[in-house]
Amino acid sequence: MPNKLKHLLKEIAEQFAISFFFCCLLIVAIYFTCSNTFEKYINIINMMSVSETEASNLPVAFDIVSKRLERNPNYGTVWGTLKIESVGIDLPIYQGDDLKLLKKGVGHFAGSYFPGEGGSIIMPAHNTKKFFRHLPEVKVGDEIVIEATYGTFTYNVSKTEIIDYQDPSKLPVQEEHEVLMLYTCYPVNTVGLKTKRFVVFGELVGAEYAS
Amino acid sequence: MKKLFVMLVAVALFGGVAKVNAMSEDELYNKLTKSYTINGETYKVSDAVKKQIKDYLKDFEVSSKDADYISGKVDELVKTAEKSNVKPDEIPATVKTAFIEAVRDVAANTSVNATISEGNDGLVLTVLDENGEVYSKIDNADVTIRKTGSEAYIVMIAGAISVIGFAVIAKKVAKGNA
Repeated sequence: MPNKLKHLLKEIAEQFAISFFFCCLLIVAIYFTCSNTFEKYINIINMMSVSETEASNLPVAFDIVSKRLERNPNYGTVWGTLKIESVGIDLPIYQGDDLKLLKKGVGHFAGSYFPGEGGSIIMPAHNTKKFFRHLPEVKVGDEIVIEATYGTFTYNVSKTEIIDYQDPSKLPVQEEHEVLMLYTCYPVNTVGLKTKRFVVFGELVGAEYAS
Repeated sequence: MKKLFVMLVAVALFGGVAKVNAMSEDELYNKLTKSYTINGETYKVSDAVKKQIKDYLKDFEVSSKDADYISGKVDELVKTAEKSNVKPDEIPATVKTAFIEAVRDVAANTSVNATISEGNDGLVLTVLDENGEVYSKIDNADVTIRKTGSEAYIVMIAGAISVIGFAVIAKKVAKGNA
C-alpha cells in the first residue's frame, strides 16, 4: 500500500477514535446528569406513539370450575399486560420467553401457570430501561396488576430476592398456591455477564374474571 | 439425557387429533410422566414439563394409535440410552441422534405436528397447532432462567474504541510537549 494512503488511513482512524472518545464522554456526562429527564420524555413519547399491538390468536376463556384456561394462547402471542404503578412498568405479556420475544416485552415461561390457575407464574424481562430496569426498586407491599384477556389479577409484593442464574430451584413450578415471580438480570446498571437475577415475588390478593 | 428424554415424552403428547379410546387421558399422562431408571440413575419429568403435558392434553386430543406408537418410541429410546451407558451429564452423540430421529419418526408416522432443531440452548422442539401456528416451544425441560441482561458486548466495543481514542490524544499531547 502506498505510504501516502497508509498515512491517510492512519489519520482517519485516529480522528475517528478521538471523535468517538469525546462522543462517549458526552454520553456518559448526559447519563449521569440528566438521564432521568430524558427517560421521562421518552416514556411520554412512547405513550403517545401509535404502536402495533399483536392480537392474541383466540379469545382466551377461563373455566372457573377447573381453574384452567379453556385453551392456552399460542406461542408468541400477547395475552395480557403487566402493570407495576410504583415503578412505572406497563408492558405487554407474551406467551413464551425466548430471546426474540424478550426483545418485545415480558415473557411468560410456558412451563408455569397462568394467573388464576393457582400455581407458579414465571415471567422474565430484560433489565433495560424499556422493560425491567426499575424492577429492583419495587418494595414489599407494592401492587402488581396483570390484565389478561380473561380477567384482571392483583398481586401484592411479598418479597424480593437475588438468586443465582444457575439455580432454577429458586423459581419452583408448583400448583399448590398462586405465586407470581418476575425476574431480570442483576445488577441492572453494569455490563458483562450477569450471574444473578433479581426476583420479585407476588401473592394473589384479587381476581376479577371477564364475563 | 434427562432433558432429551423428557422432550421426547413431551413430543408424545403434542400431536394427534382423534379421541383417546383405549387409554384415558389420566393413564396416558401417568405413563408419560413416570420416572425411568437407566444405568442406576433415575430420570424424572420436571414439574414444568408435566404442566406442559397437562396443557396439551387439555387443548388437544390424542388418538390411542398415536399414543401407542409414541410410547413404543419412548421405550426404544430408553433401551438405546441403556446400551450407550448414558449418564446425567454425559449424553453420547448416539443417544442425541437417536432422540432426534425418534422425534422426526414420530412426526412422520403420527398426527404429531412438531419439528426439532438446534438452538443456542440446545435442541428446540416446536409444536404446531391444527392451523400450523406455533402452539408451544420447548428448549429445556426444566425452568430455564433466561439471559435478561443488556447487550454488553456493544458497550465493550464502544469502550475499547474510546480507550484507543484516549491513547491517541495522550500520544499527541506528549508529542506536543516534547
